[in-house]
Amino acid sequence: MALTFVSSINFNGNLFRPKNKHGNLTRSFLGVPVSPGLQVFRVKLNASQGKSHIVCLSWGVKGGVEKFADSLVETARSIASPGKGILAVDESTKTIGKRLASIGVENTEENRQAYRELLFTCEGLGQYISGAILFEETLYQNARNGKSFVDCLRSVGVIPGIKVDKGLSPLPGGENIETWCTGLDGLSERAAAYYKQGARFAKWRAVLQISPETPTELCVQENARGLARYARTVQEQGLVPIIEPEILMDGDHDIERTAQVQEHVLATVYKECDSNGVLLEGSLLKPNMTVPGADCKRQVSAEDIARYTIRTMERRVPSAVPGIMFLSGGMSEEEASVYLNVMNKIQRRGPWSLSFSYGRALQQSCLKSWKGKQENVRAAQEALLARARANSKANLGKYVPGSEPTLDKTGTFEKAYVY
Amino acid sequence: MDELKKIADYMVTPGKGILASDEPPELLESKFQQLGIANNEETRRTYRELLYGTQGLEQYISAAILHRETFEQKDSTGKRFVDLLSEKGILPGITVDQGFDILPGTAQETWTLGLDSLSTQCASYQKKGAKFTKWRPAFRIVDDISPSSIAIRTNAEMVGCYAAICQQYGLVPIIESDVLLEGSYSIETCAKVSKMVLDEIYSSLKRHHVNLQGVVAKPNMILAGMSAKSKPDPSTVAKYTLDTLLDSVPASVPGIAFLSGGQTEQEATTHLEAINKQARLTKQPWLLTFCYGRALQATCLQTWKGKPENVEKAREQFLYRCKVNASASHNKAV
Repeated sequence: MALTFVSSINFNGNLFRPKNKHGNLTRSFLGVPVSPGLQVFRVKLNASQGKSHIVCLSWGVKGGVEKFADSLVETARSIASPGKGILAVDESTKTIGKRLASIGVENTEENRQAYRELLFTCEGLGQYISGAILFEETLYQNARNGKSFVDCLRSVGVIPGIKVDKGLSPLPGGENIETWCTGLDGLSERAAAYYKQGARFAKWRAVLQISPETPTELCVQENARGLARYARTVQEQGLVPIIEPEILMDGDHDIERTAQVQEHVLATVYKECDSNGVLLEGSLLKPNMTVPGADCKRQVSAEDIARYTIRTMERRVPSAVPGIMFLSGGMSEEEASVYLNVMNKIQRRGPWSLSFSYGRALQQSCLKSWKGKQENVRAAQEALLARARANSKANLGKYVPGSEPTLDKTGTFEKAYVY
Repeated sequence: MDELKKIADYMVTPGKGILASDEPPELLESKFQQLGIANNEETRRTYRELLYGTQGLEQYISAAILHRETFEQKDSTGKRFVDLLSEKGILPGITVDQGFDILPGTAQETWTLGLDSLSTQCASYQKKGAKFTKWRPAFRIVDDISPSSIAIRTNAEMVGCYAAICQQYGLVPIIESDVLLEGSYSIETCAKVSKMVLDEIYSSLKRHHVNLQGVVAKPNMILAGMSAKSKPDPSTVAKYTLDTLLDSVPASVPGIAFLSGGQTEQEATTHLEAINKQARLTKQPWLLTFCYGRALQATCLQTWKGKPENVEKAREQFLYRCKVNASASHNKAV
């Protein structure tokens, strides 16, 4: 096995980089010169004849993921199947409360249960939706007839997934608006329990924001590290990690700046995944599309967005990742479908599926049709299926704009939206 | 920030050291069991009362680290331990980590958890009178193999984040790094690994914009492993320790309070003496003192055996160890 070295320490700003006789910059790891760019994992320190030798040893990252490797790869591939995407229904109790309030429904456990039951018993949903992300409460709930939601989803052909992060916290040392994502404490045990309950994939949402001062490097690194560690941890318990580094739409920056920031974020995320031994074939990415800030003066077309997004993904997302499932951010249902469709009509090199993981952009019309009334359930399910179908077609580049109905007339973007 | 600096400077007052009495109940289990002492909340409370109620303790001890359970406890007159210590001029501190977990992707290496709830904890303990915090990452050298870079980086990141959060709440974070004594590695190996660890930790602290004048360092001394064939003499230990620290701990850190980590009481004192003796010959910018747990309490615990009639004698032993270590830390030019 090739044995290689590098220092684990960040060399930026180091003025005294020794050069070897060929004039190449070398790194020195505990006094032994090594070529830059090589990954060391462990070092064997050997004191023989009074002298310490450093002999590099093999990786330490393997082990653990092997147990579930095959099923992780299969699940990820299945979620990223052509013509399919993810339904995100992992709104926290507080957030779903807002949605229910908007249609005049009280935020009780019963109503939350009724709403999710509407979604999970929707016949034919599995033709367009491969996976559904749940909130913890929902994973353990049943339909009114006693059938578990996990079983309901399986019956309609949808794989259940689970949000595992514990929300955002202000980032100490970062700028005021910056956050990091919490949830690593006890994650192993929780993931194992969720697997037992029937979940087969997980989600963790890190958030970054663009402004003249942000995102800071500290913020990018903290969030990337959290994502990578979460991903590796849940893989060891059999869950496919959806890696979500969301860059918010807030701001007046242009699309070039978004692209620049997003490239750096994704590079850092996948570098950290490498350090943590994340199995890429058994993972999925959930990024934002590369769009200008909501307050940007310069208008861009759907095709601009598509091209910038594809460029960013091709530059920074490894081919091994089977699916890139975009978040809808502040887009309306129709916008989200149209943008995705345009993206999939363009010839691209990237081999991953460009698909969707939509929450608001799949549920708005459904919610508005339901209004909390039992007699509206069928109509609400039709509304959901319509948007699911639209996005399924968009994934194949076959969606005709306006061909599926929507009650979502304006975008759902809210400045400084707090989940 | 001035407030933090004041606290940190006080913790490393020349001629005083820090008492680490934050053993979690599980850790006391085996120690108590050996001496036939029952392990329950009351016996643990009695034991800590023995320690904190020692007359004259404040001459040698500037600060004490408490476990969360102890933080809420009171002495037999109903006074909170936190208040008892504060009134004596001993700053109370609190361990805020939630213990170890196995780091995914490594073979049995650990990382320290607890960041998720740290903000709330800090806010709460600060209100209750805590002045500083402790967080313990641990690293192992097995068969002369260093800890992996991922283990070092991950733990260092956690330390950086922990320190930044604590300072936000006005608490001085102790920056601890423990390269465990278990093993048969040489002193050179210990030096190399400790340097790797310290470099990464201080790099992380800088990235997190931690104010280094408002922290106290708690590293291991540079020693040969417990089961190493040859034990280096104290002056060798001193030299290696100071060389390593000079290379990796920035001058702005006000003081270094060594952990004892498995050394005997005698060894811990001898080494500290040697380090301070050597320090008078070299130039180093920080105060060098102790933050000992076992190395202050071992004999005391043996003497007490849980019996009230032994309390006075146990306190004598305890005070004695505090005194000799305090003298050993007295870094005054002769």
